[in-house]
Amino acid sequence: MSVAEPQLRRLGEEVRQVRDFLVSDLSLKLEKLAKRRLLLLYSLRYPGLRLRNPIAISLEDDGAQVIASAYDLELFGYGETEGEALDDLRHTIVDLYLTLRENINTLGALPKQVWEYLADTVEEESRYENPRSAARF
Amino acid sequence: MKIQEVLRAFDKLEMEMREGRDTLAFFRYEGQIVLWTKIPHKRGELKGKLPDLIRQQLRLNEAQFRELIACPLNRAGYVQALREKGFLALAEP
Repeated sequence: MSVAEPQLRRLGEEVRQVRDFLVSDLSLKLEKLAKRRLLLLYSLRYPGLRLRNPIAISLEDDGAQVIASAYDLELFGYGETEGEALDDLRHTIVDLYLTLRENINTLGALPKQVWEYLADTVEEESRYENPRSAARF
Repeated sequence: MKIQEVLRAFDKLEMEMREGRDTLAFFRYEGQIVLWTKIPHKRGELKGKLPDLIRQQLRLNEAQFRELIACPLNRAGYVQALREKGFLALAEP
């Protein structure tokens, strides 16, 4: 037996361990990705507010409920079905829009970025006087 | 994790609540809104990924979030944690 053989065996074992770890890690990530679905939200279903551009949404079943996430807005919605999760997210987007609008002069860095995105994306229809005001703090 | 425990933590951080379909909670520092999260109106447990989503919106790691719920982390500690992550840079006087 050559002197290098034990070292080669050890190396082979280490390579196998790394391979097994990567396969198991990637399998978990792929499984999570497979449960996630991307779609575009075209409407807030709220009188007086319409979307100029769709909002990117990720839908995911976490085993307990469906989660709808809008990463650009740092928001999520949830529900027992995809429809409920999307509806919850729509309400939350409207609540956030109205709250940021009413606090426009006191927004920190992140809220300011989100507001700029929302102001670009959401249009207030002129035939509606003024969408419901956000509750004040 | 119970919804009431998280609501108590929000109180401790002096978050401002906006009641809608769910409760939207806003964290304000030096007069400026810094971040927000949301929590169901219902009682009982937060299901599935909701605790994790709330934790991420609060910009806390798992240990910090556990401390927040278990009480050692107060508003001053939370402000410090956000400062270390650069979230308060523009809100500093």
